[in-house]
Amino acid sequence: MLLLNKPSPVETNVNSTDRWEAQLRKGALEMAALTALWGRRLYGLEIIRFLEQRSQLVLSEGTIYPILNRLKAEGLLTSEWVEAEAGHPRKYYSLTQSGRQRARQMAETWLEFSAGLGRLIEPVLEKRGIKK
Amino acid sequence: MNDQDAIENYLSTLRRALKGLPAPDCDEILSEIRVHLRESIQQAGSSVQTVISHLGPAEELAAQYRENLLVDRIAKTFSPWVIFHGALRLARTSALGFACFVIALIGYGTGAAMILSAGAKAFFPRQVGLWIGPGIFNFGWHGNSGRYQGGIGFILATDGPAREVLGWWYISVALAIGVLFVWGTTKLVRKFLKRTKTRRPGPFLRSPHVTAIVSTCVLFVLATANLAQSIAR
Repeated sequence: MLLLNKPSPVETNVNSTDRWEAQLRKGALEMAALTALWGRRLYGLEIIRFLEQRSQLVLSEGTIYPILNRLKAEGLLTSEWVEAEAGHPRKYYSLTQSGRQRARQMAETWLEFSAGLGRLIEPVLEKRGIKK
Repeated sequence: MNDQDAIENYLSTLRRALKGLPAPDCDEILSEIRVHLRESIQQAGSSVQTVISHLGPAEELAAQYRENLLVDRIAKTFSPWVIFHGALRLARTSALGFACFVIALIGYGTGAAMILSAGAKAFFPRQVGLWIGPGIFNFGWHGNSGRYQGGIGFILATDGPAREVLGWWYISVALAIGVLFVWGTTKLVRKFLKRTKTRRPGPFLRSPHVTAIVSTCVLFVLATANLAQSIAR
């Protein structure tokens, strides 16, 4: 007889929430990477550490490099290899003019979006006693 | 295995998984990941296994690079090959993506068939053409000249008196239709791919080979049903 370990509704719910959270983080990571480079140039590992310190966005370090690669291909970032004290060159990223523009647009959109969503979820948080 | 061997092992897996990407892109990715691995070990004092586990499996990392670069290439290209490749990858993410891939397969397949039939007209002028008769409209190949008896192409009926109406014009018309199909499919699928958010292949179809086999089966069933219908008539 074939026995299947069917996930319980609670497990399925937790998995869906995890997936949703992972997608949410991933979606915000592009804006976060652009924001990290606002007014400075950083190399890959510095960007990861910067985001780790200021947010909980980076789940897997591997997700950031392909994003940086794409942002560069889109012309939003520029990069240069700079010889470092560590004995090997590092690839430093900085924002281009259109990268700065995109970061600003994204920040404004995010602000409006989160304010709207904040108002929307107020009743849900109040019910659970998580009031601002 | 020492740290250096583990790093080289990871990088050679990554290089294999990135196969097909332009060599300069691939070299730059590998250099950057090499720096990341070395510095993470030095700075955090973590073991090489921990650092690699934070980075994720080399195949997954390569898949993310490939998808990100593919989206960029699609945004810039009109090459049917790149578009088709993009549709194949998208087919692995969702049922909607699979539908998009089937549209690409049918569109490009019809376009290619039209262009090939234009070439075939030069070698088989009596078998290739536009056959019109009472209830008959067949654009493509048929068995006999004179009385029309079945064929391959756009078929409305399979038997009856019919005559070929285009003659040598068939070549120009079939070429034009073929190019129109390729162009239209490229425009349609490109639009779809650009609007679709990139994500990792989902559970729908994991391997590109499985996708190719399943879609070939779908087309085979459609073609067989079409043929069976023709024979039944």
